[in-house]
Amino acid sequence: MSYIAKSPWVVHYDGSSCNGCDIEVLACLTPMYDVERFGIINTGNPKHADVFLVTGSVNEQNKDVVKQIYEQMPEPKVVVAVGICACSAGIFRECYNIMGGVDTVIPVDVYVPGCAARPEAIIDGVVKGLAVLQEKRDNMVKAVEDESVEPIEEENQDAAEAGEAEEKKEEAEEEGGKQK
Amino acid sequence: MGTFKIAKTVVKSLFRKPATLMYPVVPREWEERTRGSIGIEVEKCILCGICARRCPTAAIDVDRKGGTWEIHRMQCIQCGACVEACPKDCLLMENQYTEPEAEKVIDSFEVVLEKTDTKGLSTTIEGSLTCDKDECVYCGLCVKTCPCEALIVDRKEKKWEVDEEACVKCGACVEKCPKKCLSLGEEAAEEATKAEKPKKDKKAAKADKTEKKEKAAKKPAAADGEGEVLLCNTEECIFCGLCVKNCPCEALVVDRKEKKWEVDIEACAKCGACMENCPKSCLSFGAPDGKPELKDKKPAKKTAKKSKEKSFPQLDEEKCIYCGACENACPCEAISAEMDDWTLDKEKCVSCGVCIDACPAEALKM
Amino acid sequence: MGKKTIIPFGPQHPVLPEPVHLDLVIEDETVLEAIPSIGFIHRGLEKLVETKDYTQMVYVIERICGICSFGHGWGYCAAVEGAMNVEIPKRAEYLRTILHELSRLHSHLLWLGLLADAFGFESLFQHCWRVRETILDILEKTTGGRVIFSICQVGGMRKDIDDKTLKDIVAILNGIKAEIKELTDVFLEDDSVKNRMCGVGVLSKEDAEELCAVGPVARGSGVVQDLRMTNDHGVYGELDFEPMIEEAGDCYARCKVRIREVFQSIELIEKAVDKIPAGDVSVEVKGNVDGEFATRIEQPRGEAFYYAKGADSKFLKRMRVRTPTNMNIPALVKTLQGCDLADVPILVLTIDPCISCTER
Repeated sequence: MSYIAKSPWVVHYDGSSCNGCDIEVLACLTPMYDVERFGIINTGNPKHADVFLVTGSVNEQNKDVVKQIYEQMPEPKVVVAVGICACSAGIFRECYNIMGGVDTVIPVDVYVPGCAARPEAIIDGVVKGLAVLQEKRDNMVKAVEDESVEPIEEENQDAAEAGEAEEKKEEAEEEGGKQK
Repeated sequence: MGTFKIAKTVVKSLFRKPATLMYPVVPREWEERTRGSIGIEVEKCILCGICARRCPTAAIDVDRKGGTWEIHRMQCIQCGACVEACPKDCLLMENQYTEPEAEKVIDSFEVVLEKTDTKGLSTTIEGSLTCDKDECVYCGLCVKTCPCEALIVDRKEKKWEVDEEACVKCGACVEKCPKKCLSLGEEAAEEATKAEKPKKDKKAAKADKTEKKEKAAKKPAAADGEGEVLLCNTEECIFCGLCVKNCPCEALVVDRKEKKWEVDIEACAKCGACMENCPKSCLSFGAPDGKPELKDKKPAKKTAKKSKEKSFPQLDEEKCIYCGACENACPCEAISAEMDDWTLDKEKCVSCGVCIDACPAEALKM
Repeated sequence: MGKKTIIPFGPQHPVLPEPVHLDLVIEDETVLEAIPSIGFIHRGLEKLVETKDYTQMVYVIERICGICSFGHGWGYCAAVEGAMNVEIPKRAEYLRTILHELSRLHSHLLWLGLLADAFGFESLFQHCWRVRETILDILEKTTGGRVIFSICQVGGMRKDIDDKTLKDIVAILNGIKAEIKELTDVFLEDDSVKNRMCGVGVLSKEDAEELCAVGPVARGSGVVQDLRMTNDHGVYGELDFEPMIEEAGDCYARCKVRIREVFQSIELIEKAVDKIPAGDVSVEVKGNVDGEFATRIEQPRGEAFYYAKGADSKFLKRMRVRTPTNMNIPALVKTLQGCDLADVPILVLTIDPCISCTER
């Protein structure tokens, strides 16, 4: 478990859930479990959020909504599927209106089991998600660093090639001079 | 009417201990009944597959050939249906929930099946369930015991049938059969066709012999002939009613106050389940007009399984009014109800439950 | 003349935990009309009766809604027991009543918290939910789950709750009564709260009757309707039950009805624990379901209707659940007409919407 320095903000969406997991997610914010100790705030705006908590499974009507929220979130982002319905559609797997768990539309980073998922399990899941978030952030930073190093190397290479070309030219002139 | 009515609560919160549980630094203490996840005791599992069938989300996979029991943790809703359905009581509801993971967890357990269980009955998967029709009395106890409803028994037409596809060979019926005419396994199937009592393999035969000795001690002559009916030695009978509770055909009526014992001869299947459980061994088969055999007063030897199941009445002292009704009602004189001193003699108690019915304060419970 | 605009409200909105979509036709901050569109949570679970037998179906029906979970389990079991002509022991009826009243307590406290959050009073929201945790602890101790209980089965209850635990429950509830009173006084007497609730979203008695509103929405408008008066289900007939009625018909009245029901539930639980008889808590039920039966339960949100039809098989032929929010949505649309845009979240919450119940 890693308590990262920055406080991650959470956006929560309920897609065809029975509300059990949703009220447990809200219960995490209340005094008994109090995730605000870690700086976690439940925001309504996807563009402010780092962690996407999804409950409930996906059906035809809400799959676009889930995708849109996911796409609006800025990188790096983590998706935590809370509850059995989000992991694998649970007991409603055979229903005609259900497509499946959340991983049928967006990539999921952490699966939190439970029906309804306990607040302790949700906290564990979010903390695991934070480790993934940290990793993604490190990868992003590394990618940016690599990009800024490459142009300098190219310049050096160009300079070296130019230098060689000049040397060859000088040699050719000398030889030319010698021949004359 | 007023402003800032919440002031009182706010000020109290300043001085009160915070309500936060400080999880995950402080681990959570579970209640006894908390439903967290399913656990399995693999030694007891017989891979019957009943749990997989009862699971509402199909989260359990039982591979009988491969010898594995698997549970998809991200599909289990912790309802407990499998725990209740398991005939061997090898599944339990644990308090700790499954930890969240980055992929969908499937927990797999290897189950090694023993060749024989303690009774010497084969628990291997090959072979099928068979019934020795000579011994069978078509009482229907196996039908009631079967968790898969795979058996059909018709007493009038003397029909006994098993649905091979539904039968999971858990052996529950074999254990329960009062005539011991059911068997599982290929060897047993071959021998069951023989006219004599089936000779099982050596281990089974040994266990069988000791079982039979015990039974001979308590069981009178089996009702071989037609025309023999169930009789009760009313001089010995204490009218406890245990025979009524054990009869699968509801053929017995016992009234303690009027000291009445009656059997419905049409309904009685002569299975002998009542005789096995009678604490005074006063039941026997005999000619309809004849007297019941007077037998030696040997208390019924209980098999290991039964002693596990035996329970005794317990007193709730807060409710007890020390009226002594239980002492008067007990047919075995096992209760002594003195003021502030209620004792039960477990040697004498037969767990018939008459005291529980008699208590006016409902202070006794099994 | 102002310009008319249409504002989409939901399905993802910080106020609502559930996805419901409303198209609000507004003119200068006043809502003229609201057009609801639901269907985000529809799972089609009634069709699962074809593949799951009647004992497994309890687990599906319980999960129609996580807040009213126990009521659904009870209603389904009662409908199937009626179809099979099974009579359950008296102790099981008492236990069902006690657990249902505990469920009502937690549901109303949850609603009070969400209402406080809707008008921006976040600390009151936190306090309400903190008190609610005590009740969830009781439910976990007795049934094993905080939200989904899985304790009702066809034929009675799966587990018994012994008398000592029941007496402890009554003691705990009496202990938090004073705290609940402090919090509900804020709702009823604080000026800033009353400003947001009094006179907002008035539903007249005639409208409530015409639109067939149920539950606290109807009782807040003066309609005397509470299924617990009829002794159709549970043992309310033996507990001297009186419904809570208010006349004003606005948000304040509906809030007051629910608060009074909270205290009434604590009293009902106390009376039931005094009178509960000893005995078994379930009867064995075997065989097929044949015949049909309908029953009604007074859920925290109103009247819920359960219908079960069997066709001489382990699988039911039809199972229908009609939930209270289904009937309250027309009342919601009526109250939204003419209200301010800023009041829309409060009005949506005042009918205590449980969209997952409605859509099943």
